[in-house]
Amino acid sequence: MIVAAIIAAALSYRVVPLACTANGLAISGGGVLRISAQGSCAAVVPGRAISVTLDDEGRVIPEKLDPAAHPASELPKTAFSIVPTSSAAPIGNAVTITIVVTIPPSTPTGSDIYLSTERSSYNPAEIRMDQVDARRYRLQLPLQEGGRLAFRVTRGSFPTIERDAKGRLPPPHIVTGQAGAIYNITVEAWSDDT
Amino acid sequence: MRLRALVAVLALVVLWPVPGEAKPVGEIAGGSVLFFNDSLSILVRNGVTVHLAAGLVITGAAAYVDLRADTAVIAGDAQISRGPVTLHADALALDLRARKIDLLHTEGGIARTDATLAQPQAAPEDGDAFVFPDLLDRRAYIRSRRAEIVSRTSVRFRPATFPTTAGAPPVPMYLYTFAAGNGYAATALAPAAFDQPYGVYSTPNELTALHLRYLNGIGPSLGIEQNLIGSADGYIAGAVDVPAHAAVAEGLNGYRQLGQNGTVSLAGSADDGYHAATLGFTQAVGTLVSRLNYGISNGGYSSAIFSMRTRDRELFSGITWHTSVNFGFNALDSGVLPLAPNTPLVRTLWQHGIEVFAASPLIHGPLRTTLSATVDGSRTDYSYPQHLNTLETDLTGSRRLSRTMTLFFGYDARWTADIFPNNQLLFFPPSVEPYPYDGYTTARLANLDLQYVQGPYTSVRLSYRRADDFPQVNYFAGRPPNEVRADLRVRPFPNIGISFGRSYDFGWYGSRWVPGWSFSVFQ
Repeated sequence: MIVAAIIAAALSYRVVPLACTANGLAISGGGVLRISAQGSCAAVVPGRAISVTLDDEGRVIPEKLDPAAHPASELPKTAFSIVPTSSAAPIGNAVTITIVVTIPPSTPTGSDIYLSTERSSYNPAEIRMDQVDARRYRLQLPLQEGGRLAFRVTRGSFPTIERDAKGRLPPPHIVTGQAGAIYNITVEAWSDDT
Repeated sequence: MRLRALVAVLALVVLWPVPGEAKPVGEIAGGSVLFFNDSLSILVRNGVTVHLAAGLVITGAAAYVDLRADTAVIAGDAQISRGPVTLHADALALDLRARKIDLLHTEGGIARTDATLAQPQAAPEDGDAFVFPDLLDRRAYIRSRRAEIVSRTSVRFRPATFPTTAGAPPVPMYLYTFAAGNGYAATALAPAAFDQPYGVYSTPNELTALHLRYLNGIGPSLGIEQNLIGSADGYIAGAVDVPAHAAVAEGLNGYRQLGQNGTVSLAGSADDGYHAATLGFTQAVGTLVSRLNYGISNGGYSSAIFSMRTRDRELFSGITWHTSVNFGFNALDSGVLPLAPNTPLVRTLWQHGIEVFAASPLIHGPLRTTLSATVDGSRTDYSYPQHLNTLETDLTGSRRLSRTMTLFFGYDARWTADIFPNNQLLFFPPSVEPYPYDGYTTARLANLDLQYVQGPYTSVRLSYRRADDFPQVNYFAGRPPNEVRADLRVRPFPNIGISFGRSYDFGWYGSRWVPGWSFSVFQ
């Protein structure tokens, strides 16, 4: 028991505080940690990550952010007066995703294929894709982990934007940032198909 | 003028009525408003004030807004009020879609109310509602003081600086649109070598944007675009393109879904005295997609073509095919037949035609090569004794030279025969200038491309195209005999990429070479 308390005291945990009062530290995810008699709210700025350590009684002492702090999800349940039902979202490291687009065989020879993303307000010739073979094009993009990207596929202009198999303008494709993720997209038709 | 009036009427037909979806609007301000476009979220620090359309006013120390989910967390001594009613909490969670407001008290758990701020009731603990992600301020795409949010549509920042986008100047206002509807992505501006939109104004039903443009062969231009967004994914986009050294061009397009399987669309343009408009309908029936396109221009030209096409279907061994048939007419006051001495004046020409297309599967060969081929044949018969036959075949191959380098090669040939039975010499007399043309054309194009790709950061493509066409005459027919092109895509900074293309057509338009280029900036 004593050993466990010593180990716990040596550990710090990274949390995003929502509010701090004399009796509790509310953190991202809706949990409320019990504050140690040695602790105070002085280091707490709502919304800005801090570290907390545990005292002998499993109560937290708010401190300045320690880069080596463990995730909040590792905090023992006994430290909470209200146990969170959700842990904080990922920090958002940069990851690389790959988008592979398969075009219809009847696509005009020599066409360049572009991604048109919401980041440019859907500029139809925003990012030219790299060719893989006669039917497939590929683009690797850096994205934040857990982030998202909405895009449409074009041949470089709005009159050549993709359509679905029924001839309708489809909603944008949405991909999310996961390390090494490969998203395969098939274009069914183009707006200028006859 | 009559054509413009017709296009205006057609535009109303395409989209009328235009009932917009009601979307909540809110405004959030604070000492520091940070926008993360990767996660579509806003972080507010150093005091926050939120004004919602329902008359709700919320204050706190910090806030996190998830624009995808229409949720927000207000942290630190939060207060929400509406008229005389005020509620306090240590933190607040708003869910605009579910119309619920959760109040977190460090000593009392979570209570729930709604936009009326009725007496809060104890609620099950919903940790997801109070997630406040650990975002790094330095990764923000935009830094601002105030954000006006139109739910599921756009957010406007006043002012806006771009800390992670090198070279981007601060602006008094920046509109970021993230709506899924096609109306916010549509443009009626003609393609340009460079086009950088700048949103000015947005509501749940409209978007106004300026476009900084550069047109090959013309120069810089300013585009002004107005999009009206309606129901059924419908929209009307109208644009005016004002080049510094050429005539003003106007464009308009509209679109709307008709039920689950149909669409109606409209495209119009006015450029240097030439006005044209096209009204199109599509309807999917089983595995068929039918189209009806009606076109008209101020030169006295009109056409209406109805076509039906099967979807691409597998035949055997991976070969895919489709076929289409068409029927309609072309009409021109000055006559639709080829111009030559002594040819009859035919103002309306009816037509019916058939097309068959087949494509090989992608064949993987030795030495990391791939090959694929297509063939496309058509025949169109006209009411004046005339028929047009076309046959096009294409072969495309690739060879992967290394992990980063790939070689592409292709050959495309197209033959057409414009035949007037027993009258060929009447329509294509041998002496007609600018070129002797007997109704039979050939277009052959060979290409060789070398592509180098190094991860997400560098891509280079060098291309050579050789066209052997008959006829192949400057301004009149065929393509430039030689074209070289280089495309470069680099990412000089983590949050900004540049795509640059440069091409030269050799021996064309009476010049030794004709340059062209393209340029875009992306994230």
